[in-house]
Amino acid sequence: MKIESRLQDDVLILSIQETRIDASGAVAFKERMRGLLAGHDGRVVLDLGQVEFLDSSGLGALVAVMKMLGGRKLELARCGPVVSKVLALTRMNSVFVMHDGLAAVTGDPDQDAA
Amino acid sequence: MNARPQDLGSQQGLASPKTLLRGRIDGTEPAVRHTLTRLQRETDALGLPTERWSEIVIVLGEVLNNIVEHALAGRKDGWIDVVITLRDGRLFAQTRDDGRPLPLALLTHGTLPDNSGPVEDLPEGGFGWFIIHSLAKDMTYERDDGLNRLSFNLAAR
Repeated sequence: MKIESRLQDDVLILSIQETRIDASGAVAFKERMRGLLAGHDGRVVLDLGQVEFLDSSGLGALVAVMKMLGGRKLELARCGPVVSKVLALTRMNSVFVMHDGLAAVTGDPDQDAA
Repeated sequence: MNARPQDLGSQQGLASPKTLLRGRIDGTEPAVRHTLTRLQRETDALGLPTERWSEIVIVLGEVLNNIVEHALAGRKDGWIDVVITLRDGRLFAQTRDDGRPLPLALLTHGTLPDNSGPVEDLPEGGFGWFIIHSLAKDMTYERDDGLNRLSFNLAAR
């Protein structure tokens, strides 16, 4: 599971470099995230712009990741049609902080062109 | 059910039923992933609206992963036959597997897990059948001759 990590204005932005978070990859995703989150106590934004598919196991993994944040909300940006559909159907879009693009997160409009 | 991958997307007229996917897959999570990627490609090539292909790929994913997880749990030799057909503006899906009977509670209940509690109590599972029942119509389950058979359909336009 490839995830690109960068810190911008104390916001940890994690860009998933995979097209799927599913039953086949959920465990690896959680493990990878645990490592990337270690030592960071600020905001965490997951950039899902490359993720074309999320299933119920992947959704469970997102919830598990939020539980690693010790009370902070996990923020999700650039959700595609399948990810948005799964989050809306299960009403879990009310549990995460949702962003359309990264510009609103970082204040840099060039981010969304990436 | 001996169809091979090259039979997928056979060249039939749009007015007649069109088979998008037909074949036997291994009862494993990677095989499910591969099948969904293939279906996504087929539905995309047909020009189905994003909303519609998203739904069939989401539902088939939940159904197949439930079969892998519950019916075929712990087996290395499990298989699932999958047929997806487009007819009269609807997508018809059928699956067949030789696993254990599926839990009936899962098949009849589509309850949304409670997400109103504190973060540490948020559900990490139990979404699958809710998603299936939200999107799929006419879900039927038959247990016959040691096989599970599921069928359901969704709008395609």
